[in-house]
Amino acid sequence: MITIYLIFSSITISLIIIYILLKLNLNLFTVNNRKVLFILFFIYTILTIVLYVKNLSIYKNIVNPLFWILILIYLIIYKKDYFFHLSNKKKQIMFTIVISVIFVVFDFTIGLITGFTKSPYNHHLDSIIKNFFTIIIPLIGLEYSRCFLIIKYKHNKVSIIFITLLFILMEINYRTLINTFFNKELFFQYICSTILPIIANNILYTYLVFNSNYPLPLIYKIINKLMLIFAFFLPSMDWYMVGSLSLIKVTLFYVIYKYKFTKEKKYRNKNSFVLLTYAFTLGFATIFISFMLGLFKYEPIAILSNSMSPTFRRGDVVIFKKENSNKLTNGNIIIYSLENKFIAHRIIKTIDNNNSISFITKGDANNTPDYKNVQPNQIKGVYVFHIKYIGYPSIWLKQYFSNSKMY
Amino acid sequence: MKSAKNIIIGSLLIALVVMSIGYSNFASKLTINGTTEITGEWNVKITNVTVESVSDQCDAGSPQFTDTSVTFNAKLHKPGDSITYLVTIENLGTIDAVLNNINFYEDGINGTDAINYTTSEVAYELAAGEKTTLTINTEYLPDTVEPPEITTKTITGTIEYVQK
Repeated sequence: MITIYLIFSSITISLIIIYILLKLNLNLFTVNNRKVLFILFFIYTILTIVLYVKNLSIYKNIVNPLFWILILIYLIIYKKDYFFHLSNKKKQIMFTIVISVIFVVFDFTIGLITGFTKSPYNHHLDSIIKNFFTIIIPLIGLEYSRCFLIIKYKHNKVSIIFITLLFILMEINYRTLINTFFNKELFFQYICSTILPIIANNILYTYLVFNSNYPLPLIYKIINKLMLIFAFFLPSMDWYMVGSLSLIKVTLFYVIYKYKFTKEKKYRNKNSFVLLTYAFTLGFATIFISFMLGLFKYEPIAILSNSMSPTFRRGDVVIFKKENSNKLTNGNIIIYSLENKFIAHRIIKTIDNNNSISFITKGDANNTPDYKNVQPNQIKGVYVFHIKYIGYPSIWLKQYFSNSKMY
Repeated sequence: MKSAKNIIIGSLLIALVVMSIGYSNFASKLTINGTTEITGEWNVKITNVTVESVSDQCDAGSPQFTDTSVTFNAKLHKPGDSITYLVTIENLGTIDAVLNNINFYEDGINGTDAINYTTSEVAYELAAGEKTTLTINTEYLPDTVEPPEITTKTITGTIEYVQK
């Protein structure tokens, strides 16, 4: 009930403000000054940062939807020419719908590998209305405004960059940014899973609007948001998956769009080569991500100490193969987890105690065996080969985070 | 044209490599069930687990946690010993959340009745930007006469919030 009350009171307030402005005939918006909206967005971005930190609830539930309702009303009343006469781009719209749906299907296909989890979104009617009011309405206002500004400033490159930057700033959750800032690990994850995709997506949105003169990003975003709000199950993804897949999806969208809607025919043949380069890069990136996520039978691990010297040393990357503990014998180098750390040591003895197997392990350079026996459920795999030195960046980053998880 | 292509491919690859290096540091591979970061607005998760107090000669281990679950290995030495863990859950998203389910259970194989555990209450409502702390206390019962062979207790808990 509170939600519905908030929504109606906000809409009422916005209508009253518009009515007063009309009555007073302030000519504030009727002035053919495109800078008005620009300055308004700039001020609002600063207000967003302040409100995100000071009172997130009021910002998300009232201020933000109200602001975008006002902007939409402004565009409808004072910029009718723009709003109602956006040139019809059937091909681009259909293309955006198809790509968006394919991406949604792709996300759910990933869920077949990583599993699904219950959607955190509430599916009661008042929550759906609230989500529509706090998520969908601002999204519509934001995308129509982006489109309006980009069309207006189309011939000014600096302004286009500034507009993109402004919209990036408007999408960031500043409270999370501040909350995670002092935890290096969380901050890194937040940058990778949220900030980088926001930047990449906004560059794509600018490009789409710039080339189509139509709010195509709105279609892309709406399909994604509706899937989130109405789905009962969502694919399980961690920050790395979300971040890397977002970047790949943005690049894929850009490449296919550019290829499909390139106007100049003379560039077509040239673009075939470009497309091939992109396809190869994206294919490689996808395989690389899958490898890092451990979706293949082989996985990498960076080595932090010299405990297995001279077989492999600190800074090397060991590639290990997922293996059943029944197939392991003395002399195998195994990778096992202990207290959230990965250890790569050699089996020196197998203990078979009433059908319960465990292993005694030791680093080749260590004088004594490891202090705990390794149980089968701790074993991640068996050493296959190693690559020298390429693990150093991982070690440096680990030292920076001071959160050692590998020996 | 060529320059734009190089910038895009270069940026993509650099970002992926940096993320991958970071991931190799933090990740317990494929332990991502129960995690959904796909949504932009929803981000409620366990952000930290610390050991608040530990009796002499006891081993609190290294608590492991994912976004929605946490596991402790508490090794206690003698009757009367205790270890206390603090679990921080934060709403880093923009949607207000309410507790839907909280479930703690102990490892059936490693279990011993001589070691008991209790959990504190956790905030039912977690507004956007707020955080709450859950306290888990493990105790070697003071009146234990016959010490058990295993004095380690493994406790796993899942905490699930949903949209308010």
